[in-house]
Amino acid sequence: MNNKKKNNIFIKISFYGILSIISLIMIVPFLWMINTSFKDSTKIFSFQFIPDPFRWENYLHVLKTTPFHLFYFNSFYIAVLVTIGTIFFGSLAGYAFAKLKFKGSNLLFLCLLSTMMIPVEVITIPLFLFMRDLGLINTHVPLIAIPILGPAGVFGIFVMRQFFLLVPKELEEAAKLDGCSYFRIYWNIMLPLSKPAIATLTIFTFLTSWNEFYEPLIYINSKELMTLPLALALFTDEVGTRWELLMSASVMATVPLLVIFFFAQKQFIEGVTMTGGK
Amino acid sequence: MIKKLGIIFLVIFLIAVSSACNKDSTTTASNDKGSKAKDKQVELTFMMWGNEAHQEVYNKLIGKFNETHPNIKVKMESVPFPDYQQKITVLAAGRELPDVGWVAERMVPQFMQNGILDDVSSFKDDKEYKMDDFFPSTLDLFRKDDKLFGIPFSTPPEVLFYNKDLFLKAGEKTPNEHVQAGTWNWEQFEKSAKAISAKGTYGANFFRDWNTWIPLLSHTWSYGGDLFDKNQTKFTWNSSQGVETLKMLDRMMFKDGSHPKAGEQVSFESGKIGMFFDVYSYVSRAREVKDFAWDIAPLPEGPEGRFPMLGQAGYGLFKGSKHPEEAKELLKFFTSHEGISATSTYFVPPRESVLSSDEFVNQPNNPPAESIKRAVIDEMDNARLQAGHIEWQKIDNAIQFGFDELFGQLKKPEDILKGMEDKIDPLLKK
Amino acid sequence: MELKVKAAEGLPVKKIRRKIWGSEAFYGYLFVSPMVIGFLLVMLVPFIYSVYMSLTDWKLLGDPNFIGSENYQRLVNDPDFWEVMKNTLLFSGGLVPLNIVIALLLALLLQRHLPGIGLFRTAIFIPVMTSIVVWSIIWKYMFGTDEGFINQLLDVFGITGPAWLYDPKFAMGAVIVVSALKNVGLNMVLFLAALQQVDKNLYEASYLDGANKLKQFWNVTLPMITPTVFLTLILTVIGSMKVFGQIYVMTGGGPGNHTKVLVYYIWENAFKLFDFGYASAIAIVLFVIILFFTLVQWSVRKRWVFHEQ
Repeated sequence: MNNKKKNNIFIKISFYGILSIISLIMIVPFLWMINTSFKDSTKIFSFQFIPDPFRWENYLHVLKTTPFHLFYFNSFYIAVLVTIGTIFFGSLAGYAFAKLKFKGSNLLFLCLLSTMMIPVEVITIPLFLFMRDLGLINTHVPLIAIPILGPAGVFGIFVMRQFFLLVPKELEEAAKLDGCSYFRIYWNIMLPLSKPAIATLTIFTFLTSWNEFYEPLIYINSKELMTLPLALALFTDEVGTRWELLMSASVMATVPLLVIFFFAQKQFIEGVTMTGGK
Repeated sequence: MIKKLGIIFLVIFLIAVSSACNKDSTTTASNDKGSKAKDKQVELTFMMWGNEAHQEVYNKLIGKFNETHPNIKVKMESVPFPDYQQKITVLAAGRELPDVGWVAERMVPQFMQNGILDDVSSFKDDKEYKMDDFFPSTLDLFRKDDKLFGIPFSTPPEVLFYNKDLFLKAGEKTPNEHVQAGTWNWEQFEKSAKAISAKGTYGANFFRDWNTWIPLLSHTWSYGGDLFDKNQTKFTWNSSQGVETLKMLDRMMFKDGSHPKAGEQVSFESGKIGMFFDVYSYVSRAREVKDFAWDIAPLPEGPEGRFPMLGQAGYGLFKGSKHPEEAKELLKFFTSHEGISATSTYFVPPRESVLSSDEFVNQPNNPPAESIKRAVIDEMDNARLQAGHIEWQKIDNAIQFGFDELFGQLKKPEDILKGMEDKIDPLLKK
Repeated sequence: MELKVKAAEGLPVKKIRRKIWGSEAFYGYLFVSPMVIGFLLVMLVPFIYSVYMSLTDWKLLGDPNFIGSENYQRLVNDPDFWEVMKNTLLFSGGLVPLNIVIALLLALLLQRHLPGIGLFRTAIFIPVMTSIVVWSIIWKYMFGTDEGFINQLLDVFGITGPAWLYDPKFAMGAVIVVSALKNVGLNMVLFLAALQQVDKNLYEASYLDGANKLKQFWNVTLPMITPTVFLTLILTVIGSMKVFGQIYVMTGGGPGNHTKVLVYYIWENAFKLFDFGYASAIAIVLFVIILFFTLVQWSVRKRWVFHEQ
């Protein structure tokens, strides 16, 4: 017994030890980012544990010289719409692919999956021409519609399909016998049972949209329509990058997500454990 | 049921949002057409990669422009510098180019070749514009046959930024003192670089991001060598002069330790670099240095003289503009004496009258006036343009490939240059 | 379990015969239709356009001329293409196992309810939240030759680190590690979500059978989450074949061509060299390669992925 207790403590210590080392590797770059964001422009590559001079003014400078609140708002509402659209269309199609039988479903699924396989660089030009003909250049529509209907949506389908496969058959059979429509089964049974998957997908889609650089670069011209990643790139000009400003802006772009994730991760990882038991 | 309604509502909302944005753009488009019919109000797009400080200068400048041209509205759009070329390319493919835009040196030959720039040679007929005020060499890049496909706004020569304190600490003569004594040559440069190096500080740095090898050409030039022959049909860097250039870098990096090794991220602003090669535009960054005294000096000279590389950025007038005449007016104003004076806060003016003016020289935190005169103004006549080539990107790739071999000490300078020659000669023959 | 599946399959078959309207198949098509329309618009039409472009000499700024299969012939004889292809496979081969194994191990560690677990989860997820550009920029400086964080750290132990990103021996490895660190959190979260859906009764059953932890993992957990393993495998393979951002920022394909991968080569040909026809041809080849890998994985899935009918 005593031996087992010792063993347990040893396991716990090594458990925390391993995790601490891995977390540290993940965090160091982030700390570097925060550290640099407070540095003087002339001290960027000198090692200073606490920047000297400590320039919190870098943040003010970013906020003053750029319409940062606009970038924030643009990034945020675009990411929200993309996420809602992806979750809805992705999970609906994912349900169909996982649980419903229809001819050619596998082929259709593979076709959709191929959307993720073509490098975005080559379909840029045709898509740009298409959007131009629709009069959508320099609007947010391409930034919202393309991901939902394209790669992000397909990612959503794939994730949801794989998770719906995990849902035990008995539940839907019972619902079918009760005379539920397929939409009701999807909405009342499948979705509630897949909360972890939906939470996961929400986070991924939101993050992908939040960090998307390429589409805004191509479709947005006006400053007031820019999103955060595009605005971040503006801190680089022909004589180099304003590291301290780039990093302050990056910190401002990342920290809200971090806080949300910290509080949300419990919800979507632990809050749903009951589902498995049923 | 309520949930179902919720979804329907959501879908409607999504459609509404997207169609709302849709309407926005179509109404502005129709506004454009309406104004065109009146032939009064015109909107031009001006695209650039400048930061917010540059944009401020242009906002004022556009304000002034509107005093004389109240009917021309100018919309300024900024694109990140590293992605500028890609953006312009996509816009060109979609026939959505801006009316006027900045063009960087390396883009110009390709843009000219593909005919997306408009001819502005008519400017020289305007007496008031004073085309002859431009240094002739600054227009070379844009000239083809009798036509002129752009006007420069920034023509900075390569200069040497040096950290005075490091020289003082090592008890060495500074580059400017050597210039005055007439002893500022490449041998002396190498000696000085070695003398001021210490652990963690490097005597000199040629590279900004480990791919800007072009300042090294000044060394080859001052010994009488060159990258290509006159007609750009042969790669001539594989010569005794070229080998010497690469050997110097090799010595400084690996023997003397007076040049940082590839992949090292040290900036001049950190005070860890004694002498830094960059175009004069870098001064806007150097002005922020507070911890040490710095100055600028001309590049070292060789037996054939002193030849700094001339950097270039200019304005282009893009083809397919709906309002070409108005766009020309704007470009003319931007490059007039007034326009070039306004942008000379950040850029080395290509107009002689502006270059020698107090406005350009006496900026806050600038290096001393006599240094600017010596390293910038007096060097304009020596400065050489590294003429672009249609295949420049491939040539640059091949040369960069060779430098990577030098950085990794994989091959000897002679073999590296041979390798470059083998790759580049076929490109030039095309 | 399997018996029940078979029994369930028998049920809707009768319904399908009745009518298409309102049938299972009808709803199937209805539910996937928005995405299929999206597929036609954002993928298929541009894709066909790209295939056409790959048969022309379009320089992006001029007009395209039809040149048949010339671009593809050029590709076969282009030594750079083969090197780039090799690099891409090397990157993929290095990244995929590294990423999936670490992600699964982390998920197993982090699924426990222990104090402070949220902090660890957040820490490992930080890189996923950071944009790839910023993440790569930071690592580029961490890999600095003399003053970089990593080599300074090695210096403490008396080791002189190499010029990581400028040494042909290390550059690819460095990029792989940075990419793995960036995305391991993503796969980890997918695994975590999957682990939550494993029926807890199964654990109890196997515990009663006297299985130890390792056996339990092998016989219960792993089979139950194979759909997610399949998912992450396909996603990671596709993602790794399309790697671009970290290469663009960290090495620019260098030193020499040692880290130049297919998408970088496509981008370089399209937007640096304006050779859009050739770039399209490379892209089509890349597409076919990825499709091939995916189809291989797809066709063998029934052998090992649980729940796949």
